[in-house]
Formats: sequence, C-alpha cells, structure tokens
Amino acid sequence: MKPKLELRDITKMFASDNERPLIALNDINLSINESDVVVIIGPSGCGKTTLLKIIAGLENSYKGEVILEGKSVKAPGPDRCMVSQMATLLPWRTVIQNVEFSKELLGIPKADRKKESLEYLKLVGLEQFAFSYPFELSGGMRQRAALAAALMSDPEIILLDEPFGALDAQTRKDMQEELLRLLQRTKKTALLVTHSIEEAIWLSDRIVIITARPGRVKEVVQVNLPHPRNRTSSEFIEIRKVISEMIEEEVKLTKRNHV
Amino acid sequence: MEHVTIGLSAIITKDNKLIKKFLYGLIPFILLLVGWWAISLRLESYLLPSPDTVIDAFSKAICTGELLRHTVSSMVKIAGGYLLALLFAIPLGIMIGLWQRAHDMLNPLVQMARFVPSIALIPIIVLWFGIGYQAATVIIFWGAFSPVLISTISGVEGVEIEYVDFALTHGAQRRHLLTKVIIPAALPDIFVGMRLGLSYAWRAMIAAEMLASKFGLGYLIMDARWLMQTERVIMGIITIGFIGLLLDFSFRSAEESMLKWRKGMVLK
Repeated sequence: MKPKLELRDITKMFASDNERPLIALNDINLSINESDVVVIIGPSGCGKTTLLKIIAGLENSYKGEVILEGKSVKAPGPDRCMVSQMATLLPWRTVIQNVEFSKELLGIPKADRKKESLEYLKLVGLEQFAFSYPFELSGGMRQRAALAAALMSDPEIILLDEPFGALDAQTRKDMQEELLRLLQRTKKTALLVTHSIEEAIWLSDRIVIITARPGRVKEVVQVNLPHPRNRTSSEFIEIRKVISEMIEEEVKLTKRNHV
Repeated sequence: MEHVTIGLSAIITKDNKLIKKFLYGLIPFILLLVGWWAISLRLESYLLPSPDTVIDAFSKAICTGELLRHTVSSMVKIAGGYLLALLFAIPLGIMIGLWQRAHDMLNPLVQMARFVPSIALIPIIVLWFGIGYQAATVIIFWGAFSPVLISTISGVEGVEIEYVDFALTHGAQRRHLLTKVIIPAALPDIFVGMRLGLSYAWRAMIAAEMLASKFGLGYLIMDARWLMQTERVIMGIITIGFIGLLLDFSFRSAEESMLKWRKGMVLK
C-alpha cells in the first residue's frame, strides 16, 4: 500500500546566537498509511510542533521532503489541515462561519456550505452554538469547533498539535473519545502531537517517539489493542511503561545537556 | 405566570439600568449649570452671561437659521476632510503594516508628522488655498490622518500569526489573507484610530474655521467675539461639544454592532 504521507530526511536548523546553528530536527523519516492515527511524542523542546508545522507548510527553511499521496508538498493547503494547540478559530467569525471558512474560500454557494457545516456541527455536538462567537465557547467547545472546521476542509491528513493540552482532565478524556469517534467515522488519517503518554496509547495505531534535541525518531511503537481501549488493562500499562522509560531516558539526556 | 413576571421584571431592570446610567451622566451637567448660573450673578454679562441669556441666544440663532447654517457648513467640511483622510490613511497604513520596507522608509516621517498639529499648518495652507472650504478640508485631513494611519499600522502589525496559519491551512491563498484575515483582525485598532481621528479632525476644523473661514461653528464663535456677544460665544462652544458628543455616540454604536465578536464590547 502506498503511504498517505511520507517524510524524507527532514532536518530543521535554527540560527542561534553562538555560531553553531541549533539543530531542531535531524533526519526525520516517517511514513503514515491511509486512515492511520499516528501520535508523535517526545520531551518538550524536541521539535514536535516544528515538525507538524513543516508538514502543514508553515515552515519554509528546512531540508528534506514532505510527500503527500506521492507528491512533494511545500506550500500550506487544506489537504493538510492543522488544529492548533489553542484551538485557533477566527474570533470575528461565528462558529458556523469558522466551520464553513474552507468552503467559502473555494467559492461554494452559501446555502450548500451552510448545510454541510451544520452537519459537521451536529457531528461534534455544537449545533446550538452555530451562531455564537468563539469567545462565548468553553475550551472543549472551541476544540470541537476547530475539529469541525478542520474536517470540513476535507483534508488528506489532519494535523493536531497538542489539541487537548489546555483542557481539564475530564474534558480531555471526553475530547479524546470524541476525536477517535470522528476519525473512525470519517476514516481520516491523523497525525497528533502530544505530551501525554496515556493519550497517545489510547488514540493511536502507532506512536513515534522523538529524541531530545536534536529531534530524531527514536522508536516507533505499534499499538495493536482493539478499540475502545481500557486504560487499566495490563497490555495498556505495559506499553505505557515501555514508552515512559524511553521518554525518561530522553528527558535525562536533555537535563544533562543543559547542565 | 411566575416566569412571565420574572421576564417582565428583567426587562424593566434592563431599562432601569439604561435610565440610571443616563441620569448619572446628567448629574455633572446639572451641577455645571447651577455653578454657572451662580457665578454669572456676580459677574458682568459680557464676562459670563447667565444661562438664560445663552438660551435666548440659542432660540434666536435657531429661528433665524444662523445656527443651522453654520452647523451644516461645519458638518460638510468635516465629512469631506475626514472621509478623505480615511481613504488615504487606511490603505497606506495597511501597506506600511504589511510591508517592512515601507515601514522602514516611512515610519520616521509618519512619527514626525504626528507631532505637527493641524493648527501649525494653517498659515501655509491659507497661503496656498486661500480662505474657504479647500483650506478647511486640508486642515481637517491633516488632523485625522496621523491617528488613523498609526492605529491602522499597529493593528495590521499586531495581527496574530495563528490567524494567518489557520487561514492558510484551511485553504486560503495569499490573495485571500488581506480581506479574510488582516483587515478583520485589525479592525478594532482601525476603529480606535478612526474615533481618535474624528475628534482630532473636529478640533482641527474648529481651529481652521476660527482662523481661515467665513462659515462654520468656529467662525460663529470668532464673529461673536468681535461683536462682544459672549452669549453667542458660549452658544458656539456648547454646540461644538454637543455635536462632538453625538458624532462619538453614533460612532460607538456603529463600532459596537460591527465588533460584536469582541469579548469586552459585548459584555459591557
């Protein structure tokens, strides 16, 4: 099977004050299959968000290639829609105007896009808030709206940058369930960055562990548990143990480098 | 039945709040009026005429149409000069805000121009354009231009990159960004500049009319001064303040309905 998304030798350097440039990402290779949910996890500062931005086309000075459906992509586009950490929505647009934004850009008639966006809003349970402004929504609701907007742009792959980082524990769990349900239903391919090991295991088919800076792929862990997963099952806990050991190793390395 | 009463009382309370707000705002005016009246009793009329003399002057000026004529003249001037300023300052501000090289090139000039009040330009403007509408328009233009320009620049430069990223990853092309992201995101700042610009333009206009015009509220004050009609001077001052208040109020209403999406404005 041809992979949906391929990353080839992605290297990203930042200019720094002393002469040696800072290597943020080093030779990242990764391929993601259709309808896969892949989670990237790693110590903070390892360049996870940068990697997601590179895929989204929001970073332009990097080495390597991002290949979507066999074609090299550089510029940003709706085929790689991104949901940001803060569930960014355009604050001057109502929820429904945000959701239909991608279709508005395509010039789709108002009635058609309204109908479709209402369907997506229903899917995420926000139909009563269609005409509210983003500031009127709670954190979880904003995430739902941002997800609906992303799904509406019908991406080949949906990129999520720590989407639930700012939510409280309960809302976070609800949103994880919601996301999984949406992804299974729409059969979308997804790449998600997170800090939470539990979230990673609960959601993903594969977990990519990135090393401390410079970020490289340390390990790819296949998660072959059936959904819905039980967070307290022995297999779940076993995987969690393996991954947290790997991450702790990296965190220690980061600390040593900093001292 | 009970919830109907509750609903009704909610409406009444809401109205009450507005009335209360209005009444509170009225208090200083009443105090001012009483103070004015008390002081005017002890002073010669040419120094400070009593409120009723000024009211007489008002009714006379309204009946003869003099007040309306000067007010209309002022309004026409401000509309022309102010709209012209918006027409130039907003696009220029967007350009400077988006384009670093234009910023580097024009910013020192803009910052300098900001400190040159319109009134300082009056002599040279009159020299070039004579006394009349043209001169007034240029002076009003200058008064409104800088605040609108500077607010537009800072509004555009302050657009959060995350909004641009949102648009780009949802399919926006470069050409969409200006209308779909930059302008709506900068609009609150542009509005601040427009309001500030309006009050500057209004002041500049009055100054221009006092020094370089034969019509308008500023001219009315100067005319009354030459004739030692202090009550008409005060009439002019009150009219200027009152119309300014009306302009600002209508501006705020427009702003509020256009910027509903902003947290602070909706909750206020």
